[in-house]
Parts: sequence; structure tokens; C-alpha cells
Amino acid sequence: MVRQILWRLVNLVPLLFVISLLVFFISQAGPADPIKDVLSQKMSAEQIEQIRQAYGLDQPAWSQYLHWLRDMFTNGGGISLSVRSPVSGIVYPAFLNTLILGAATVVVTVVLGVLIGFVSGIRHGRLVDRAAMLFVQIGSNLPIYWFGLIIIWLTAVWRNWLPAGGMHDLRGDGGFGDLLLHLIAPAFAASLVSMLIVARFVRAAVIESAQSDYIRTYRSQGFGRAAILGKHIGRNILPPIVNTTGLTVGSVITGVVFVETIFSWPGLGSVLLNAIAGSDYPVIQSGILLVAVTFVIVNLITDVLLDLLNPRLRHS
Amino acid sequence: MTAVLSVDGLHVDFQLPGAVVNAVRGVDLEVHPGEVLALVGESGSGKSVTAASILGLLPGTARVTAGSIRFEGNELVGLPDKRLNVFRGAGIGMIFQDPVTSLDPSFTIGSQLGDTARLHLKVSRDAAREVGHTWLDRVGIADPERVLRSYPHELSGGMRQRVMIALAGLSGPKLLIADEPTTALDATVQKQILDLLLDLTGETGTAVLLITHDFGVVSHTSSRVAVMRAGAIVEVGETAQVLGAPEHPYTRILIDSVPAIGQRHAVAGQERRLLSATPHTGRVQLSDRTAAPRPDTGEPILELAGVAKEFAIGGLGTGRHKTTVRAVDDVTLSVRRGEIFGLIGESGSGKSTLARLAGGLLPLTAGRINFDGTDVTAVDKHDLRRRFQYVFQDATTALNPRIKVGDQITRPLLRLGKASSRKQAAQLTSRALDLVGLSAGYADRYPREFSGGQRQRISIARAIALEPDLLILDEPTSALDVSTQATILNLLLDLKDELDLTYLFIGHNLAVIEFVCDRIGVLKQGSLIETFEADDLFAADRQPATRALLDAVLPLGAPLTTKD
Repeated sequence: MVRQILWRLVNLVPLLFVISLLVFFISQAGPADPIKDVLSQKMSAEQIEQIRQAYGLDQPAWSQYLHWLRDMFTNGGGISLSVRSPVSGIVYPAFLNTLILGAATVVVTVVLGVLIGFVSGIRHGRLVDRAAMLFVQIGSNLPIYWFGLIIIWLTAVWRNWLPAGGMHDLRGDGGFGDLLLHLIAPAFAASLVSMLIVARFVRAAVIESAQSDYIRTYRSQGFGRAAILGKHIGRNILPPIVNTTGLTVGSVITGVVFVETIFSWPGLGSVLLNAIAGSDYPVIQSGILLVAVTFVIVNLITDVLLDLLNPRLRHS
Repeated sequence: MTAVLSVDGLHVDFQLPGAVVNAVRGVDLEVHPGEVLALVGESGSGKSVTAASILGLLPGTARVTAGSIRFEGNELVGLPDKRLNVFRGAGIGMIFQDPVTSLDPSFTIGSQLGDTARLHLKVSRDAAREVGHTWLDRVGIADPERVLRSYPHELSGGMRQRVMIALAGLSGPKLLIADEPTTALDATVQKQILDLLLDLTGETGTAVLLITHDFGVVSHTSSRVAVMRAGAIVEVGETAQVLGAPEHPYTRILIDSVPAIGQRHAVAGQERRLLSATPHTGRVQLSDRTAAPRPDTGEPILELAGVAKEFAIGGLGTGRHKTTVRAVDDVTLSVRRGEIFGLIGESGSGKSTLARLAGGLLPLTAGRINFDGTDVTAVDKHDLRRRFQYVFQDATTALNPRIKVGDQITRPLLRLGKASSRKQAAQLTSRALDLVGLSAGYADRYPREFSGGQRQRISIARAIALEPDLLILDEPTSALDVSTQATILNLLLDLKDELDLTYLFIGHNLAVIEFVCDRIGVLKQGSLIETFEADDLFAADRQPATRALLDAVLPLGAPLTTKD
């Protein structure tokens, strides 16, 4: 088991290398020229060339890549072209805020997704199940920004239950309770699609497990419904829960970027939008790299958890 | 003597989309204390549905519509789950067919035994573990401590079925329902498990309702037998009486369908057929065949020299050490033109791998294969393809469900150049269907419109349409009911004589192999242990591996093992 985890970690190195290559060269391939956008038209061609040299933009692509990679590790991702301060100071705090929202989103996804899926799974074919599946069907097709606006209208405009946006109340103490209050609406909005995906898979897993031969064995031995549902079905649907949750993290991240804009959450989404508008390559590259690395790490955790949950993999 | 279990006029219906299927139509059964009653029948006869309805374990679409099931005088039909749980396990234990899927993959054996012990014996966690240990000991598991810590996937099929018996037995039921308990196991393991079951229930006086399709199992285990067909019981009686002198014609057919070991000696070589040689294949003989079958010349058609196959497991990227498994190890054999060569071995002995290697469906790790003098690995296989054909075990998956059966026979004819035009291909197709006893009009239908036996006939038609020299038959009847198996075996014997075919026949049932084949090769763990004439099966110098297979055969007329 430890060997397997170590091996997976070793596998990350080439993967991260490829990701960094992709992030760097895809943004290089873009049409915008960072220098032209930043500098005024009045400069002579010679001056522009000097600036290019100063930023290392005259060098071949691979050399620029190596410099960039070095900056990532030592110089906090280099200097932002538009704000002229280290990229890390811009990207990291925003990324932390995004992580907070992302984590809250995953919690809502798992709790509500498993709840909906489990209930409709054990009531397979009954009214509750049909209603839940109709809800899932409609919900998965709702545009996330529209749904976000509806939530704001419901919880902040029509009824004054929750704050309409932001991360902290400007007049408040900025404590944890205040943060939680601000998290509810955006986390719910961002989790909608992934929550419904999880619900669907959990439902299928519950149905499959309930009809399995081993559950028939437990029933034939006289185990009560509660014991079978709670212990044996519950245990056997854990792997699909972990698996789908891991997979939906990708869509959660996408959703979070939308939701940040709607709920004025000071996260990576708005930072990236601004950076793209201003062709601020160092910021874009750092931001995307962070998202990619997060995704890879979540996948790693998912894989390790799945290995731990599956006796066949654990004991080999 | 009052019955432990009495079933009266039981009717079970399945509510399927657009149709109601009457799976069980008026079954009456009585199981007396301490007896073993075998309920025997073919697939779809309703025997498993009857068993499942006793403990209220029917699937959601099925319902008991009439009749009563009484256990020690208590009516079970119509009881809610909660009330049934009083009888489940404690009064009536159940063992299922597939020990692989019937144990929870996510919990250790110790945990599953412990849960059951705590539920029924109301003991502490530690005491429950003790009970689990004792029971594993009783079901003949050598190292109970290791098995208690193991997950189901770490045990062999036979071990898992022993665990199932322990699970069902530890609550001390009065009645044990065993639904095909050994069907998924190898023949050598089958006998051990059945004997274990008989010993344990004999000790405690537990009555057994044993559901099976195998008359060998009936004869080996039961004191009484009930024969079931199409949802109803056609005959009940003492086992020796029913097997020796069946009253119902259907029972007679079932018994005659099973080749008894040594039966090939009872009928003359070329004329041996099952079911007393009546034309049960349902086909017309080819009129253009007048000459006697070409005699066995002894000239080899398929030669395997030092054939080996290794599969790699693990390696780079899996986080596991790379290991190789030698599925087939240095096999040398030759199949002679005009003979039926039988390959037998237990599951995992490499027989199917060898079958695939023989036809060039898998690359060899080592060795050489000659077909009619040409090295199969060296030449373009296209020319040879037509000359050897396959028939696989499961015709349901071997036929493409979305293509009409006629087209499935026609395509290889055109592709391998047997037919030059569509018209000729169509003619050859109807002739092939004719040969296997199917109407040429069936060519326009899809595989799902046929029964299992008919599908296997289609597979055979597809193979023989190409007029091959050699047919590789990979367990061609293992998935079929005994009566269907008998007709398919007869058909294969007919076709071999009429078309001058050579068969490489792979199987795991020694009685079938001995009846059908001229020579037999025994595989064990990838190696060919020995090769001998089928007539010499009982010779004194047979290897232990062959002897083990022979000992595992449960003969129909075996003396009853009485347990008084």
C-alpha cells in the first residue's frame, strides 16, 4: 500500500512537468503581445526591443520556459506585467479564497448529493425517487449563473436572510461565523451540477448494491433492514461516492469561477479575468498552474482513497 | 411424521413489462426432518423461484399469487420482512450458487461470521469471533485465523462455499435450502462440498432442500427427489426409485441425456449417440452422403510443439511488481485427422488459453504450431482461417446481437473466399442451417429470437458453413441444459461423420469428454499431464490428476450414502 502511494507520488513528477509545459506554451501561443498592450505607442522600436530584452522576451521559447519555471520556484512566479508586483502576492490570496469556496462547495456536493441519491436509491421506483430524479433532470440543465442570480434574489433581495455577496461583512468582525454566512449561497450555487451528478451515481450504486447477491445473503440470515442499509449498503457505496466526488471537482472549479463573479467573491476567478483582459501572462500562467495542480492533487487523493476502500487493491 | 416444510399449491408470477410470466404453477412439496430432498429441473423450470419464495427473497417483480408455505406449522406467505426475519437464518438457512458474489466483498470473513453469530446467538464480539473460528474449523478450513482476517476475494471458490456453509449453519437452522451449491465449482471441489454439507446436516439432523440440475448430485446426496418442469412438479419419489425407473417421460429424457461414465462402451464406436440414438437432433440426414465416414488415418492435422503462453501482471505504472503467469507450459500434442481429441482440466488449468493458441487467436510465448504441415505462426493466417473454425461456450455472446444470423454466417463465407457471390453464399448458408437442424428461413432473424440451444446450433452452422477441416470446440455445451446438451452432442457426432471433420473438444465434464472423444489429454496448471485413448480411461497406469477427475464424477447409479 505504502509502495503504491509512493509510486503514485513519483508519477506526479512527469505529469506536473507536462502540465507546466502545456500551461506555458498554450499561453505563449495566444495572439496578444504583452509588451504592446502594456507600453504606449510613443516608444520607438529600439526602446521596445530593449524592454523585450529586459523581460527576456527576445530569447528562444525553451529558454523563456526555463526562466519561468525557475521564477515559479524562487521568485514567486515572477513580476506581474500590469501591477508590477510579485505574482505570488496577487495570486495566492485569491487562490486561498477560491479554495475556501471550493471546499465549501465540495462539502455541500457530498452531503446533499449522497442524501438525495441514497433516499431515492432505497425508494427506487417510488414517488420520492421519481420526484428526486425529475429534480435532478431539471437541475442539471440549469445555467449556473442564472441559478446564482435566482439564489441571490431569493435569499438576499426577496427575503433578507443572507448577504448578497462578498466574503465578509464590511461592518462586522470578519470572524468565522460571518464567513460561513457568506459561504452558504455561493457554495450552494456552485455545487448544483456536481451535487446532482453525485446523487445520480449514489442512487445507481445503492440500487445495484441492494439487488446484489451478498445483500440477499444478509437478508436470508435475518438481518434487519436498518442494519443492512446502514452497514453493508453504506459501506459498499463508499467507493462510487469518492470516485464521483473526485471527478466532479473539475466542474466545481469551473462553477466556482462563474459563481465568484456573481457573488463578488474575491477569488482566483476575478483575478484571472482581469489578467486575461490585460494580457498579464505571469499571472495567467501561475493561476492556471495552481488550478491544474489542485486538480491533480485531488485526483491523487481520490485514487489513494479508492485504493484504501477496495480490499482487492489494499491487500495486493 | 410431520414435515419441517410444506409447500401447497404455490403460484408465483413475474410482472414483466407487458407480460405476466407464471414461473411457478401449483407446486406441492414436503420436506421431512433430517431428510435430503432434491429439487431437480432445467433452467427456467421454476426451482430457484420456489426456493426464493420460501424465505421471501423474490425479486421486486415477482409475487406469490396463491398457495401456502408452512415452516413447522407457521405460515410464511404474506408475512412482512420483519416477521420473516424470525425464521430467516434461525429456522431456515440458505446457501446460494455463486460463492463469489454471495459474500460481501468489503468485509472480512471474520466480520461477516461475527455479525451473523451476534445476531442469532446474542453473544459478545469476542465470543462471536470464537464461534466464527469454531465453525471455520468445522467446515474443514485448515487455518481459521488467517481466513477470519481474509476478504472473500482472497479465498478460492471452494473455500468461499465452505464459508457460506458456516454462515448458514452457525445459527442452527432446522432446514437448509441449498440452491445449486456446487454448480459454480470444479468437479473435484463439488464432491468435497457436497460431502461436507451432508456430514454437517447429518450430525444435527437438519433437513436439506437441495436445488440442482445435475442428476449426479441428486444421486449422490438425496433420499427423495422432486422433478420440476415448467413451474410444476412432474414426479416425486425415492431417489433410487425415480432414477432407476422413472415414471414420467420427461424424467426419462433428463436421465438419458446425461452420459454416464463408461457409456461409450455400451454402444458401437461410430454409432454412439445419447437418448438411445433416437433422432432427437431434429434434423434430416444429408442425402448426398452414402459412403461410410473416412476412417481415422492417424495422420496429424494439428501439431503443437512446446507451446507456452505467459501473461504479464503488474509492472511499470501499476505500483506492483511485474510478475508473469505461465498459463500454458510446454504443451506438445497432435490431433489426428478424423478424430475427436478431448482436452479436460479444471478451471484455470489453461485449456481455453490453449484452445485460443491452437487457432492463432493469441500470440505464442514459445513453441510451434503446425496445421496440416504448415507453421501457423509463419504464414499469413488468412488462408488457414477457413480451415479451422471455433465454437465457443456462450453462444449468446459469441453471436453479434445486432446482425441477422444469416448475415453472420454469410460474411465469413465471402470474406474468406469460400463463396464468390452473394447468391452462392446464401445457398451455403441455408445448407449449413439445414445441417444443424434449423430451417433456412431462420436466416432473417436476430440471435435474441432463439433459445440457448438454437443459438449454439447457429454458432456451429457458422463454423461448418466454411467447410473447415478442424473445429475447435471450447466447452460447447457447458452453458446448456442437460437435454439440450445431449442433442448438441448428438449433432456434433453426426456432423463429424457426415463432413469428415476433426474436433478439438475442450471441456471440464469427464463423462461428456469420455463419451464424445476418441483420445483425451488432461491439463493441470498449464501442463499436459498425459494423453490416452478414451477407452483406456480406467487403465491402471493413469496419472493422479486424471484419477482425481475420475473420482470426482458423481455417477447416476451410485449407492446411496445413508446417514442414519
